[in-house]
Amino acid sequence: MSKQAPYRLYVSSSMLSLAVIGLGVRLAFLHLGSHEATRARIDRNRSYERKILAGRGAIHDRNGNGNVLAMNLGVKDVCIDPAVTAKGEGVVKTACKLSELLNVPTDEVAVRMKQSDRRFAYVKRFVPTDLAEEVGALGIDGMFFRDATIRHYPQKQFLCHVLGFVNHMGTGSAGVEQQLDRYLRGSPGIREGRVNAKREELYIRRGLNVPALEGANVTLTIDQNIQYMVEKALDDVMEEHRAEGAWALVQRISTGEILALASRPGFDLNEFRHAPNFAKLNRAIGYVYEPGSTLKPAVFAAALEEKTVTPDTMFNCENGAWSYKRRILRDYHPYSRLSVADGLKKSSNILTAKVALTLGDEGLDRYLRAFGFGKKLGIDLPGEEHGILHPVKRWSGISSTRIAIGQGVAVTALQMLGAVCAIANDGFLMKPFIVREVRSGTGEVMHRSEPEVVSRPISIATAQTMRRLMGRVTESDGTGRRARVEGYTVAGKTGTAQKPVAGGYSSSEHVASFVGFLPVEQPEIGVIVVVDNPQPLHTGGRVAAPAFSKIAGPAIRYLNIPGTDSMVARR
Amino acid sequence: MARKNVRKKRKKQQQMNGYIFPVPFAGIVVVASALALGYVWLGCQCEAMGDEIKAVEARSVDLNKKLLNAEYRWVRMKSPQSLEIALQRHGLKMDWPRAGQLVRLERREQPRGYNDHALAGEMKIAKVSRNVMHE
Repeated sequence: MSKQAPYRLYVSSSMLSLAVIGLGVRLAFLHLGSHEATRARIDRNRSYERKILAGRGAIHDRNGNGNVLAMNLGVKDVCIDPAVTAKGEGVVKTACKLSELLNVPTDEVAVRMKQSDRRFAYVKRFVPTDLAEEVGALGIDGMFFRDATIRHYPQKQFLCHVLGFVNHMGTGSAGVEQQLDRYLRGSPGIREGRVNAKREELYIRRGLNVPALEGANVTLTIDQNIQYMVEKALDDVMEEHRAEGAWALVQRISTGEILALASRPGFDLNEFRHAPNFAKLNRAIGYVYEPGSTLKPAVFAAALEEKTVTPDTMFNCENGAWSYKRRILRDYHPYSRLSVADGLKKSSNILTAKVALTLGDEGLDRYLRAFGFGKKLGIDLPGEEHGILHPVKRWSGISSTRIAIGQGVAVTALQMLGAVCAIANDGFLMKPFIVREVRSGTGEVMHRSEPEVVSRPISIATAQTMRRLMGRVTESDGTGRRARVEGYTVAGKTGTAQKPVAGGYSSSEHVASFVGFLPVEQPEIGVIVVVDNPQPLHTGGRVAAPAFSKIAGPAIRYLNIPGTDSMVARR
Repeated sequence: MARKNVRKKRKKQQQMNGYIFPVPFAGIVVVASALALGYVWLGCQCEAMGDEIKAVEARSVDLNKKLLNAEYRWVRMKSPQSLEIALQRHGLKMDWPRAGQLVRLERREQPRGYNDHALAGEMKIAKVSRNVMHE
């Protein structure tokens, strides 16, 4: 060993010792000191917390899973890195291609692509995946896609007032989406854990993992085929009669299930932000109108139930003009004497007013309320109106004669249909419902609607008599003859109401309606059609009755309900 | 004295053979190394499986999106409006059959001793009659 060897050994040992001591001091400093901020920063950088969004439940028609009316759709956001796109050649040419594919203004895309000081910009959000693939095939440098999910309504305007829509916060804001938001929205999950240096989640360090609870699926009582028939008929009415609005409902009489509900004008559910408020109004349940003569069956049924009249009781119809308490009441056509049965068929105002007087104010009010007027029927949709039926103490001397003919009282189409369906249903007024059931993602039934009786205003005998009387309205000399359906007997009532204006009634604006049911012998479905301000024809018999026939005919055949001409092969 | 000699002898022998690693300590080191290697191997396995699970999770999300998109296309295709447009495109006009065009088959109460052969035989002679129920 050389003389220098111990010296080197000492130096190396000292250096090593110093290093070890240094490290020890540093370790002690780190571990013994309170470096909360440093620890928190390290912990923050390494930890990861993500909210797992729950998918919103789907909405189906009554036929189940196959007919989806509202669903979640995976889409793409088309994004660019302007710092890259600005460097590329032919920015305008690329912008032209993108604008053509994505239907966005070329100049807007070009401006976004040229913002070289930015690293991110959207070209278009919520693009369908197949279109995004087409865009991706262009191979534009600096373009990329981000996954997104949107609430989508595949049939756009179809059933718009029933389904409603979801706002940008993911909350149902109208229709079933609003009514059943608590079921549909589900519950978000959460995932916590640690990440590596590349910010990728380390599965083995995953701490908390609560999966999202998917929203429940809703099945409606609506049948999309009947709904389509109704919407088509309403579109035709709107066009043919230049109406301001039109709405219709189809109800199953024995249960109160709503098979179709449509209102016009409508709007595209996927573009609800651009729809005017008047188009978003569900007129079938949220718009009150004076029903006119369609209210008469309720008055006749009340009088028959109270036995103040019989179908054969004769009344003097005063040749078309009757002065009562110094106010004149007129008939559309003058009649001298009519029986109660003919009075309904001919829709005589004077006869109806006289029938109402036999009931007295209290009696009329009691029956109208029992038929569901003046209060919500409780359909499972938001925005239902009460209608207007003032308490008796606010009635004037002639109120009962005017209310009986559908003036001074306001109803919703749902109430009017409910009352007529009660007549068809042996006097039982059923609660209307539109949600059949709600099932969780695992198939568990969370809610199921059952038929519910609201009241029973009339007896079975009165109901049978009324069905017979209303069946005469669609005979060849009745006001509702245009509502007839080939092969089936139809009962109903036309209504032509002048629209109330300040100080009286308009002579040029009307609400035409027809409400009825079929087949008369064994009623299955009830239908109401209301048309707001049709021009130039304005009567219920001319405007609404044909639309009723257009809806009821295909609907009853679609439902496979036997009619009078049914051929039966017996074994 | 004898004891001292033995110690001296052992020391001399050690000097002759060099340092001998204690066998039990070597065993502990080997076992510890094996355990450490096993631990690392298991850790790697877990990590690999974790990555696999993550990939499957991502695939599940992706497939779910694809399913929704396929469902969307199917719904669009079979909506009443689309069907009508498709029929029009092919020059077809379809409507629900009128009541007079329908023949309903009603099953009568089965007589005693009724069997499938009888059913097959009787079906051939089914009578067509008008339903008088609503007339």
